[in-house]
Amino acid sequence: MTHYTEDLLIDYLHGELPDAEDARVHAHLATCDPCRALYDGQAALGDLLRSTAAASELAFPSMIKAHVWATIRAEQPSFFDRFRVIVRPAIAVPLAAAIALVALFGGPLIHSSVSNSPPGVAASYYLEEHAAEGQGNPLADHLPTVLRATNTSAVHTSPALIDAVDAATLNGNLVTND
Amino acid sequence: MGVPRKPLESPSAEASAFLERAMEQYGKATYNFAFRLTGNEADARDLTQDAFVRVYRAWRSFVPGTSFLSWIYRIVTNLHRDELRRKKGRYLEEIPEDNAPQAFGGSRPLAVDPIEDYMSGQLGGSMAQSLAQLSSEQRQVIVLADIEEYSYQEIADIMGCSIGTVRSRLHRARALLRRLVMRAQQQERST
Repeated sequence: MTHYTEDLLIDYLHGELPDAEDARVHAHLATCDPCRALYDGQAALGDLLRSTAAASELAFPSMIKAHVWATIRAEQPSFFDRFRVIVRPAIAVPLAAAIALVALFGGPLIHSSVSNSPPGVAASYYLEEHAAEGQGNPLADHLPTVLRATNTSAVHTSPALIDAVDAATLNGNLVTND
Repeated sequence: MGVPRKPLESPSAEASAFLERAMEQYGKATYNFAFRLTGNEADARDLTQDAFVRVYRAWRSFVPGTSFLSWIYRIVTNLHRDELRRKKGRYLEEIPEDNAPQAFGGSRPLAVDPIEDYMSGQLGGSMAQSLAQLSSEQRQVIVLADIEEYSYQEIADIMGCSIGTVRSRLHRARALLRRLVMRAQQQERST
């Protein structure tokens, strides 16, 4: 007489055999003591597992519910987060559009306004101020050199004064060289 | 034990009602399932909490008409596996492969610290001790097949493996568990 393996008897115990095979094993177990003993051993293990589980069954702790809700509430986005998510596109999109419009149409206007402004205004202002100081103290600096280099009509300095300053500077140099 | 943090969607009355009902109806079953997998109440609580937070996050993916228990058992199984991997990394502890049943007296897969050992000892009985010596996959398949009485196909769906894997895991787990229980019973008689 052939015997069934323990693995097959486990499948039989769990009702996982095809119908025809299930019927064959069922008939075999009625007449084969060794296979019956194997089967009974596996069945007893299942019974022991279920009875142990039933005996040790625990009630659902109420603290679990509380912790679950606390976790969920803690991870909810705040009012500010939600507001930011809603408002961000409302601000970002018009702002990007405005920048794009300025880049497209505002460029020539900016350029023309810059090019219409008189060049060298700031430079002539400083030169005038410098010249005014130079009039008070002609030997303080190389004023004439600066004035000639700029060649600007905005600086009102008399040629006589320039010559006087040149002479003084030249004399000073000669003295130093001696 | 922590569910990876991801911003939750805005609170919805539907999601809240779904979660409330799920905890009401299946909280106890889920907690006991987690308890049988972990072997102690503290880990079972954490696992159950994390599972229900996931239920809240993914409640829309639940297909009405299908088994909610199968779904949440799958969530619990996955979370438990992730947790074991995390602990394995933290404690550099080997989790036994499914194909390598542990020898008698071998290191326990869930032995994390003395407190956990003590708590699992409080479960009492040779069965609890023997179950604790199985690998996590073996324990899962035993709990699902013999305590929860799921079919092989349902277990395969929950564990995310093939029916053949379920079958071979169950065969090995049962053979090992039977030897462990017999040994534990012999020790109890001799003491």
